[in-house]
Amino acid sequence: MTAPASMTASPTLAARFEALAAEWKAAVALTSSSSAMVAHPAYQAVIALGPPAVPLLLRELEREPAHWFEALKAITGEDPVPPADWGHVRVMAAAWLAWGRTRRLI
Amino acid sequence: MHEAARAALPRLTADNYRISSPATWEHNCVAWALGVTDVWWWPLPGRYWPPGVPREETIEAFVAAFATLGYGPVAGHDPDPDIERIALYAQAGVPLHVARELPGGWWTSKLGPSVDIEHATAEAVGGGDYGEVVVILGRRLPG
Repeated sequence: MTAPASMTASPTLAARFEALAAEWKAAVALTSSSSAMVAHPAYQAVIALGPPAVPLLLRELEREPAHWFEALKAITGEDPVPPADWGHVRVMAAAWLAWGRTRRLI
Repeated sequence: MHEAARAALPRLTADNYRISSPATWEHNCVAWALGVTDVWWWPLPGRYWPPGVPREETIEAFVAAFATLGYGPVAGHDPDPDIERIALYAQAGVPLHVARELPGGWWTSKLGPSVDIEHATAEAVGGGDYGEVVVILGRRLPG
């Protein structure tokens, strides 16, 4: 099984994603508020990239467990993290990576 | 890191704080203040919040969350070796940060997903992105 074409990122989109991710991480570097993190314009712009950004988000999550969970939920409409694991960032990241591997997205 | 911290928290100076641990996305200031290092606390669905406490970004909800671990109002502002104190910071009624007092009178803060620091006073991380201290709570340390 290969990733669906709708979830394949072009080099241009990958560069755009990397720029937005770097902007977001710098902007929220001192922020504890998850609400503020998600509301940041760069985070919302990542969500607006849509399904092609999903493999990029998963690879980023694999590299570092930054909080891309809401972006993944918003784009895919899915959530593999049970409420009992909310806040356990490593566990949440592992759940999303398992979800992505099952779908051959990473 | 120092440059970003001092820009966001203008009361920090070269003499009143020091970095005390590496950055991590695994816990935030709320968890750190409560002695937790593997969970990110926030009332947003998708993060940990104590069961039964409203998932609201209000001072009242944060005080209620801290009460689940035994924190309550404390009298006076002087350090008490038997009481562990935490400070809640807010801006326009919205909680933005929590710090914990260390034995000896300094305070410790986790700066979002970045490092944690030790600072000379609770007020040292106020006046900027975190707003000001709005509540100080305490719990008696086990004897």
